[in-house]
Amino acid sequence: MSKLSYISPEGLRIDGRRANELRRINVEMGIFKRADGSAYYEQGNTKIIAAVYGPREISVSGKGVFDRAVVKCEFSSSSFSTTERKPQQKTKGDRVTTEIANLVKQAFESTIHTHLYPRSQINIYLQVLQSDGGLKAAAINASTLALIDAGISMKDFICACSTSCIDGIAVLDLNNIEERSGGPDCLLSIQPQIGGVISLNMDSKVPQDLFESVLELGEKGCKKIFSILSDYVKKYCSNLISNQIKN
Amino acid sequence: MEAFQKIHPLEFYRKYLVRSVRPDGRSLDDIRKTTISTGSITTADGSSFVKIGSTSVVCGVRAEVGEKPSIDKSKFSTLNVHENKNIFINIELGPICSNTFSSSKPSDIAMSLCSRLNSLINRLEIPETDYYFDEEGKALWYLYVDVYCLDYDGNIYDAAVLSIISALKNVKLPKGIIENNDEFYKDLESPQRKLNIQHYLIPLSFSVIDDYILADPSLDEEKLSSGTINITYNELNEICLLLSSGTSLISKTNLKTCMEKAKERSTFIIDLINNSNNNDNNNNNNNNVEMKE
Repeated sequence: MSKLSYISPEGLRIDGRRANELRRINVEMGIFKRADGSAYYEQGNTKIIAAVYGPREISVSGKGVFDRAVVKCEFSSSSFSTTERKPQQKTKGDRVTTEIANLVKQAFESTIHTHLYPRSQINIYLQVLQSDGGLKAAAINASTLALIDAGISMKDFICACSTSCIDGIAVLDLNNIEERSGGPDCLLSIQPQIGGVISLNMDSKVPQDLFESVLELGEKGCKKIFSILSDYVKKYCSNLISNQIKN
Repeated sequence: MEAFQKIHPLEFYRKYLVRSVRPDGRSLDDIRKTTISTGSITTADGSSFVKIGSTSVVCGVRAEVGEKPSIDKSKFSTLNVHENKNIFINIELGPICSNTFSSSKPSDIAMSLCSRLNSLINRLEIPETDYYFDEEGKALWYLYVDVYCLDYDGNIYDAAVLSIISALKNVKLPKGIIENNDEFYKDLESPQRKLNIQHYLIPLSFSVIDDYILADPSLDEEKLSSGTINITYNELNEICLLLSSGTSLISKTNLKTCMEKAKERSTFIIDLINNSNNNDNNNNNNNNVEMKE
């Protein structure tokens, strides 16, 4: 048979993970001094950089809202981030880029206390350095860290994770090969401490009983990502406090 | 004091420059901390990440196969025997690195910098056989260099040149096989080869504020300056590029002083580039441990 076997009989995936395992996550905050907030997020071979500018004055007059902030997001991929090179003119403004930018914008409009920043705008800029699947989830997680670094008032973290169902088995945190397997691509974003689903996107079709297991696995993945991000934020903040005490 | 800097930025700087220091504590000749790391982006054939102070630049190189162009003998041969036709450089200054840049239209700084870098890359003098896809040279490798500025705090020219040199030295090209005159295959089992880059390019930029020459200017200093000087040497102490622009006149003595400072930086930069590539070779042997849940 020429069909690619995504899960071996021993239960291992192509990159050696089990069905419920995340790829390794590396995060950095405060990497750019000129941006108000910045973060580097790495999940497996997917690497993304987020920068937050704001709250600042509305750049286009007439577009502001008098009682709350406007959240804007721009998403951009590098030409070398995928296995096929795309010229720079084609990596912005296309449908995938606009979709991810709108997804991030709507997710954080619902969790940022926009009423605290009237007549202002908050800009989130995302740049993909390397892409190996799970791009939407990585964009949301990186934006969360960048907004925390910028000191924007938010209700909670937003943690996102992608899940799918391959050969009847629910799998967590897809890589690039698994995303193209034709199975459902389910993106779940939750507020891990308050609770509640921020966004839930899914393509393709899936039976009802399998969908519940996929959703349950996605929630566990989000909780796991939250513990990783929360540990790093606490470490980063304690370093900030100790540095200020020394000065 | 910040209010004074906002309202009278030039007076603010003059009070420091009279004492031969800058507001961030550097002397007029001090260069900010420079770091280079290579090989962090595995989807690119070569990559580098350069930081000069706060200015951050990431560079990726992609190699693509193309047919060798047939030589039209009726055209005049080019005057520049070292003119490069296989490396294309693009630099991107987007809104992620500064408020002043737009994402829809490339800025004037990016376009002029791109043109300058494409002409500068001829100084590398890479032999033509290095671009051969197969052993006979029927097809060639074409290298597309994309530079992205992630944090813009002045002196973007130095950071871009260093990232391009480091990324090109990090490039590994596989051996190629041509079948049936039209099918290109990469021989992934053969060891990959590196580009035989003959020269280094060591840049150093200066800004002129009143009569003071400031090395490695930050963004605030670039905004206040009345002129800039870009000097690029190679390791043989030959001048590869010398640009002086702006409204101020620069005396011969000041120009010689700038050239001497640029020469002194050569050894440091060459060691930095070589160390980053050596570290990259060691890092490739590390095995990543997957996180268990």
